Amino acid sequence: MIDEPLLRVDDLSVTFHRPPLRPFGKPSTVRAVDGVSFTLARGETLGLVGESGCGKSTTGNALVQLIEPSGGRIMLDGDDISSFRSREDRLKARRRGQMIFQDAYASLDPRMTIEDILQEPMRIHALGNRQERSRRIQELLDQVGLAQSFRKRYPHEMSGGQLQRIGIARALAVEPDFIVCDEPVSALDVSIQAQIINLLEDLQAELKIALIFISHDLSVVQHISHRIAVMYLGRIVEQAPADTLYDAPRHPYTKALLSAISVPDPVRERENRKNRILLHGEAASPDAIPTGCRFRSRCPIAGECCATMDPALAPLPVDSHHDIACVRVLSGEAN
Amino acid sequence: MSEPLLRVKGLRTEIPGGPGSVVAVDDLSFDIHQGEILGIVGESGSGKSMTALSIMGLVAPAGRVTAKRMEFDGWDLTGLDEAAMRRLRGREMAMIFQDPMTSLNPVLSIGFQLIEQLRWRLGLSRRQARRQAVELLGRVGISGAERRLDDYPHQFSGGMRQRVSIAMAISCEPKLLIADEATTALDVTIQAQITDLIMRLCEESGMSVMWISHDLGVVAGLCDRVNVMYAGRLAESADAMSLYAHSRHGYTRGLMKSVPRIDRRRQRLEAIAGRPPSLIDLPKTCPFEPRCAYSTPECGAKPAPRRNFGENHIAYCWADLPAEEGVE
Amino acid sequence: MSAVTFAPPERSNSALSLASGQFLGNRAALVSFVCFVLITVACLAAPLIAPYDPVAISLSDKLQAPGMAHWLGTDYFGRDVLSRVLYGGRVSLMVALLVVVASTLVGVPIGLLAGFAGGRVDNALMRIMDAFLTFPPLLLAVAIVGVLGPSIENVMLALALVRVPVFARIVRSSTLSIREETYVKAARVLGSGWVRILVTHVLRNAIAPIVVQITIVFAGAIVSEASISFLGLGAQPPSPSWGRDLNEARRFLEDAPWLLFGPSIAILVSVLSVNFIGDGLRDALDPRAWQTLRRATARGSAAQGATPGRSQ
Repeated sequence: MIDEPLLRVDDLSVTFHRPPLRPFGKPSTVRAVDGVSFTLARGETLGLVGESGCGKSTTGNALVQLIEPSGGRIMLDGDDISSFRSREDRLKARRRGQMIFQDAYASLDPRMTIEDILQEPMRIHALGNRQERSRRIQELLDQVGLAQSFRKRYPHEMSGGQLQRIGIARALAVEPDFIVCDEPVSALDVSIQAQIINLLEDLQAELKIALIFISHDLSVVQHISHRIAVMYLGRIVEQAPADTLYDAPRHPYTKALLSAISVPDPVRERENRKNRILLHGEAASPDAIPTGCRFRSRCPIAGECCATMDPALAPLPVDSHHDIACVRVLSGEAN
Repeated sequence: MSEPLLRVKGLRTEIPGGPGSVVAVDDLSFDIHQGEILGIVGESGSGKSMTALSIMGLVAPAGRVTAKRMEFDGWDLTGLDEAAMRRLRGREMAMIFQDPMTSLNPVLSIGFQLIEQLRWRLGLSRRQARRQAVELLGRVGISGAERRLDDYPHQFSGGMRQRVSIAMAISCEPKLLIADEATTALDVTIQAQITDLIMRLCEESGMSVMWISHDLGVVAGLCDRVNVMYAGRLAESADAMSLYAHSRHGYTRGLMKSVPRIDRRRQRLEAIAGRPPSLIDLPKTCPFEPRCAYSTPECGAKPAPRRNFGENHIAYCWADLPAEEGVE
Repeated sequence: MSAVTFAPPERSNSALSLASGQFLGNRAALVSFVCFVLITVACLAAPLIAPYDPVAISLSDKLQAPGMAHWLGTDYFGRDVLSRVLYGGRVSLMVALLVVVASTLVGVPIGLLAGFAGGRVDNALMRIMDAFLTFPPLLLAVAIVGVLGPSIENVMLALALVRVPVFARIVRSSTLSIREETYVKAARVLGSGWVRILVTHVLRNAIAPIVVQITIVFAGAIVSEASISFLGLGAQPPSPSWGRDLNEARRFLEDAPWLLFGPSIAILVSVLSVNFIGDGLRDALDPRAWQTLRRATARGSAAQGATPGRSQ
């Protein structure tokens, strides 16, 4: 196939088992991700947004095989990596998908020097000899804007922004096809956030790496992503190109999320405040998912059909690149 | 203008230790008027949380707080002993934190905690206190308050917990509420609910709020006036409108340009180069000078002057910043 | 390429020199290290430097007070206490050392495996360890020696065996917490196998509790050896050992209290030194602890803003 995307996720589900709360009680299961499908093209950035507990991080973890999916397929260039069983196959798949973490400091072994940290991925995948690795480290440090003098340093000697650059360099070390960025800038100060976002954009342009950008910060996601998927309680409720999503959101949840974003402009903020769609209550917990549409308990346009029908993600009739999961909007009953 | 509720002049907070003492807050002066919401914006290490702790008298014994003047509602905070300070805290000024669990005891029901506080602070009877507690929970938007009194903190979601901690904070009708990154850990939709709640409470009771945050967007919507802090010092202080429309300090300007905004089309972010300085042995000149895009020759040579730009807008900056592009 | 480049001051010092610098900067550890080396060397060189034969009985010299001829006096059989302390150290220190090495080598891998594998493996291993722990260690050691026959080798074997569960437990609990660290997650994403993760990440970060435990076991082994020898199951008379001699000295507490000095000071000093050396090592092996030293030496320049600038 010519147009085969780099990554195709089909009906992915992840279920967690929780031990019973009291002795002899029933163990409970939590469906953190429940039937998520999307694609990722080469060199593309897909933003995953949603509130805490929506399953965006779990999805990211499943993509890099940190969590075993309980259902669905993760196709990388046509191969289902979740079905790989042999160590070689899994290692090969791991090399193609990497991850950077929210807390960069915690993601680096405090007892290793930066050199050791950057060398580790190459050792694991047996890439190059000593000299080649050393040269590669030099290149990586250049790419993330850090001087060679950091080689002998330890993580605790560096600032948050510098640590995240090391996290990025480590992910790049194995030349992956895609990187899952799990809230990579949320722990950073505002002025440092911009440095890291710019760095990711530059690297993507230069190396043609695809990114899955997971964040609760919609402004950041909108800035960096080509396409955005909005998640709610383990499902994708709306998916569209970034500009479309922000200009013409269709799902009531997306609308509410967007209206809640604050803008550093008091005039506009005060204006927004009046028109803000305030959602009632909070997201239902994933271990007690309501029947029908998951969002209906907070939805301003919920109707009778929403209690019975579990909406599937489907393209809008007017725009085939804009998918939403809402019975009322898709049927034209509501906007 | 009437006498401000809180007047701080020349506040300096020093944390001794290690190779040199860290000056967490240096020569800070500002007022908070009754019913006003003052935003304090800055990054980690800018001294914004330390300012709050200094006012609350919670820095000792680790650090040393000195001020030319620090008056709150007629009290001279610099001269108060710990016992008097303790009476003031909780009754006259209260604080909420990023993590509401800091102010909630996980093994006691929230009803018990609220009722105890009301009985102890206001001397109410058990029945009065219970009635008041229900009313308080209702005011902060917790439905079914009567029922939820017997719940424990872990049975509440993050947003609800923050509401409970707000209820605790306002239980004695304080004149000043200090909120330290109170919505940072919350989801955006919940964040909007909480800021709405704070605004409503201010309007209802005339309470003043000191809103500490790194989020320029939330501050824009909520605050009347904003102090921008950098490296323990005040960089700029102005009306929200004036600050966002025409910032006069290189740092404020840099900050505004470095945040992605959904109301502007995708363009490259103008990141501020470098990183904040160490707070040990900081020079008297502008601490932002090494990172500033607008720095002038004077910046590295002489301390930045306090400049007035119209009423209620001051900035400690040598540079004359151009009018901001892209603002209608 | 990114325009922003950060360049910290170049540092020529290797990790080794920094670690040793940290260790040498710790005065207690340094002094202890010197003491311990002196004691060890003296004991090893006992045949060369001991003034008398440690087992030569001379009843005419019995229970002499310390003096020019016998610096630490003589015991009930007229044997020179100083010589016995020097020779006794060879036994005591060797027992302690081998017990530490053996119990660490067995206990640490068990703990790593149990903590990392979890589930049934963990349960099986730890229940066996618990079974060991239900017996008082000394009693168990005595029982083992009783079965295998009294000899110093069997004492070492027994003492090492009873310490294995202690290491296993400590390493397991560290492993359980380190296993959840983000850097272990990161290593898994990179494709690290579990052996690599255990060795390069978990073991390295569990080093502090292990080192502390080693010092405790070392001290305990010297004392336990003494007790077992006292029961006549360890070093066989007349061969000297600190513990045995100390116990023997108790019989003459009123007539010849000086008999206590030699062995007890030897035990005290070596146990204390090992403890301080352990503390020093723990800090020297932790890069995060080096900072204080570096700040003190290169004030201002290198350490500037060294704390990770994460937001609250």
